[in-house]
Amino acid sequence: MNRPSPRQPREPIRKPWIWVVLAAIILVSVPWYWPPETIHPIVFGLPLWSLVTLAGSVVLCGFLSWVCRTQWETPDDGEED
Amino acid sequence: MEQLTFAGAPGIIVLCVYALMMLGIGFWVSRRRPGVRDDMQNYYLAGRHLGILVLFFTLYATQYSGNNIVGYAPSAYRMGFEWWQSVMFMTVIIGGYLLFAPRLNRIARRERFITPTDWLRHRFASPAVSLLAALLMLWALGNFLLEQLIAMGHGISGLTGGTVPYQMAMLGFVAVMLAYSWLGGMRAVAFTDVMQGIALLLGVFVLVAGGLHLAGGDLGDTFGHVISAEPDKVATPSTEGSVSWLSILVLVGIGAAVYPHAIQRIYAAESESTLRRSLSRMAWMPLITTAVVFLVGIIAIQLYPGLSEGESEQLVGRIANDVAGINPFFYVMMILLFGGVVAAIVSTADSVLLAFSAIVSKDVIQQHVAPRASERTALLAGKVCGIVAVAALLLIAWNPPTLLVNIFVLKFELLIQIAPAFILGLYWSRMSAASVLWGMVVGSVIAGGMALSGVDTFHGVHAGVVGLVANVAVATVGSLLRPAPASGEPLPTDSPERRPSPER
Repeated sequence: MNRPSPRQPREPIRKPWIWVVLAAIILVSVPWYWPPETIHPIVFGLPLWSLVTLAGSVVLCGFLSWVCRTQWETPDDGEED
Repeated sequence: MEQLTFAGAPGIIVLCVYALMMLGIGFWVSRRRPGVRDDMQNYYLAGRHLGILVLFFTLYATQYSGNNIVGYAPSAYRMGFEWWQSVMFMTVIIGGYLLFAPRLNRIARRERFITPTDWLRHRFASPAVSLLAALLMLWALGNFLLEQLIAMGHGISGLTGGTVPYQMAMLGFVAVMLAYSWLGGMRAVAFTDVMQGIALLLGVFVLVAGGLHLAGGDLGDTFGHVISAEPDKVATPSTEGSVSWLSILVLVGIGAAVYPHAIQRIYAAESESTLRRSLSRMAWMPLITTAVVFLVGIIAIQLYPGLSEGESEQLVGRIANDVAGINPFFYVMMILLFGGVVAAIVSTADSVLLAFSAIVSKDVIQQHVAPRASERTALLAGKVCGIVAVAALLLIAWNPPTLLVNIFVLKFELLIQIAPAFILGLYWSRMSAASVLWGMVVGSVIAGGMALSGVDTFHGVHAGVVGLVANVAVATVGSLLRPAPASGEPLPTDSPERRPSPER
């Protein structure tokens, strides 16, 4: 595996796939693709669109938190190595 | 906010205890760190020594203002499930930070930046770019501060059921805020943010618990009631509503990340990994703050059907009133909730004030007014200007002039226009100062013009985002046509490369 030099830590901005995944999560979470102004179908007592949006929001939080923890390498990481 | 059943003495006692604690923190910091007011790095950035816990809470308490409780619950009441967008836009701010914070933190540490404008000065070496950006930031910060002062007056007056009048409430807490900020700078602000953040978190959970108790205790029943009684509030948004949802994610995601007081915290982090770990935790906070406030608004649809827009604005006071009447436990908890609301307002206001003073000290006084002034003099002048600005804003907040009200709405619309200079400027060496300047001018004129003429959105796209698109277009096309000269300022990356070339 390529290990970046501690002098040039890898940043999330240099990893295009992060932004593609982020855009995909947002596009799935925002209910633009459902028929406008409808509540059906209802699943588990809630409109299905809201469940998809809720799940998408949880994934969004988890993804961004995960990106911070694992995809943002800092000079300190290099020193620890 | 309406009269509360628990208003009066208990509220005043809570506020006094709270004010004394904040003042105590200010005194403690100034005694423990005698040199805290001697230089800008110590005063404005806590000597770049904010550790993970304090950094996390100061980011949290600054980002979540009182409006996130008293303003967002009524929005959820009126808009229904569509207001879930608030949870998403508070989350994508972390994505906004990831666009630039890692590199900016590293460069700021190396170059010893104090204000956001320091970066622009370093990157573009253009007094016009720096001055325009500083003015946009000062204008937006002034409006933020005004908003917080008015919210402070209403919040405290509401907490005490009018026992402390609106104006007295503002004066009292502004005096406390100025005292601890003056004494301890960023350290005092950040340490009080820890207390304020905890109060805010506790407050929203107690509010939703009380509201749910009033509604019968079963969230499923509440959702069922809303679906049957007001189906339009759980329906999918209209096409324009969806566009607006996507647009606000861009507006807040980028706009809130480039708040000057947020950038100040990027600079103040003890290390890059401290910042990384704080932001990683911040990503979860919308689910335990904004989502909880959203639930409060939805529960209120069942509790108080048919409120007008004006009545719904009093929602949090009304719920708190009824929750306080349940039993003594909830009575005490509601007093703490309002302590939390006031804490959220003060914690945002003090951070905004500190960022305001920093920009005045470093970017106006040291650069333009008195370049030969010592750092200590410039620091003192910035602090005094901050107090003068607060006094002027207090006069406006005392009797808000209705004719000028639109001017005071301009915040995000203008602030987001500095984003291309921060984000594109970090990575694109061909970006030229002239194109950045014209981009900012065009973006601000379009966004400000739309907002001032009452056109908030264009087919669902917010005025700030329309301006940002024009801004990026001008900055990009201008830089492609007339790129920054090769002999100009070196590309301020942390890598050895200076000119456009492959990263590795």
